[in-house]
Amino acid sequence: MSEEKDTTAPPTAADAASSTGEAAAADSSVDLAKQNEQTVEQQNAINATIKATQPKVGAKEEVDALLPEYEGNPKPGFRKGVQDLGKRYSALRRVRGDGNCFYRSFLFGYLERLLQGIKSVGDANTKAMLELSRLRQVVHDSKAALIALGYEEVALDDFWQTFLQELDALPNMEMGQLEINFREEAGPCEYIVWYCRMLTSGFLKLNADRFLPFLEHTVDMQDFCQREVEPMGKECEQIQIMGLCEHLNTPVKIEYLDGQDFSGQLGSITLPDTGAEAMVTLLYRPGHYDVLYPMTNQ
Amino acid sequence: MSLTSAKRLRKEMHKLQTSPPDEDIRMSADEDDIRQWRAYIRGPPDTPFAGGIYELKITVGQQYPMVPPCMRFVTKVFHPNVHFNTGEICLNILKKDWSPAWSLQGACRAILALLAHPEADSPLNCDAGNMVRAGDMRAFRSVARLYNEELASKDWPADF
Repeated sequence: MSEEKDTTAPPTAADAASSTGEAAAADSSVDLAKQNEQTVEQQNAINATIKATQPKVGAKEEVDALLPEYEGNPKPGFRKGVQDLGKRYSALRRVRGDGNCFYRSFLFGYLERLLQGIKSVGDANTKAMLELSRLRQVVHDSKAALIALGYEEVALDDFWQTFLQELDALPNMEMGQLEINFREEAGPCEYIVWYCRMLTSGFLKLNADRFLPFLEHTVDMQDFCQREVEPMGKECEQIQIMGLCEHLNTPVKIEYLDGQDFSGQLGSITLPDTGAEAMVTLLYRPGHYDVLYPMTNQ
Repeated sequence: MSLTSAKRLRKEMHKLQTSPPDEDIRMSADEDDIRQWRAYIRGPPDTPFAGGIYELKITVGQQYPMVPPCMRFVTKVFHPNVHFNTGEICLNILKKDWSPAWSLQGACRAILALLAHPEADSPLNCDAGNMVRAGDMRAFRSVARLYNEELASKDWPADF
């Protein structure tokens, strides 16, 4: 149990209200509790602003729409990078920056790509239907694997079922419906986003020997997953991306717009790097992920 | 989606009722309100809380399990991470590290682990925190044991 000062996740209003710290007057523990309470309140205020101004999943916009953000930025790599992306990507979709952006971007991008394929005819349709049934099988099998790792079935069940239901509904879904579902504040898609965290956790734990050397501050994968993967709102690093994409066997391509100068094309990476074509392309900017749409994907 | 928290709670209740009883935790929901729970936990052996039965009050919000339940001690307990008067508990998994992978019973187990492993950083009980931080575990244990003997029940409640 580490310290409680760094309050990054949004606890409930009930939590904030609960640390009343009455009675014991000039008690330093009460001061600390008050500080915690203030941090929680600040964080809640930030979260409320994000919630009010940023949809969970935005509308498609042109990549150039990013340019004004880098007006006068001392790092020329940003503007140059946006211009490069504009040549190769037809659109961008912003995703809410609430600590879940990788999982949400990836999942939305993936399901949207599948839905597009399903709405097509011929080979594209066959391929998408096969991919959907492959994904469904992976998700289906995951619950037993997680229970074997020690998770409680009651804790997983609703999330797992919701995921399967959403996948089963996909073939009959209208294109715009996915967007609507993902925007719902406490909707089923929140459940799926969290279940992706569990898919990540499960894979990292089963392959702890391989992934532990990448972790700097811990030698305990159980502890890492409990603190950094499973709670909603915890941002993700490359290890979580590898965990999720390898578990699903769904490669993701990430374009790195980090302000560094480059020659030719902006730097990018595909995970897992098996040579297979990426199903989803994301844009990484320091601390955030959004969805990108390649020109050929139109 | 608010129905989902009730659905989840019913599943948790069903599991508790159909599983072999936990030796250290007894819990149940209010008959009229599935969001109000009472739990009793047995102080872990080889700790100053051994031999005591502690009551916890659990309040579950509409958004559970996406947000944590509110849990507090009803029985007074002398511990760095529990507020002596309000019973508030300072435990990461009930705040920033909460995830839906925890159940109410799992959270009770985490509280048992907290009893066995007091954390001196950011204490809610300054006196207890200072003793632990100063390494004076003997003083901490003897005060905690005193309160345990005086304030905690020795037996499980009859109606549980």
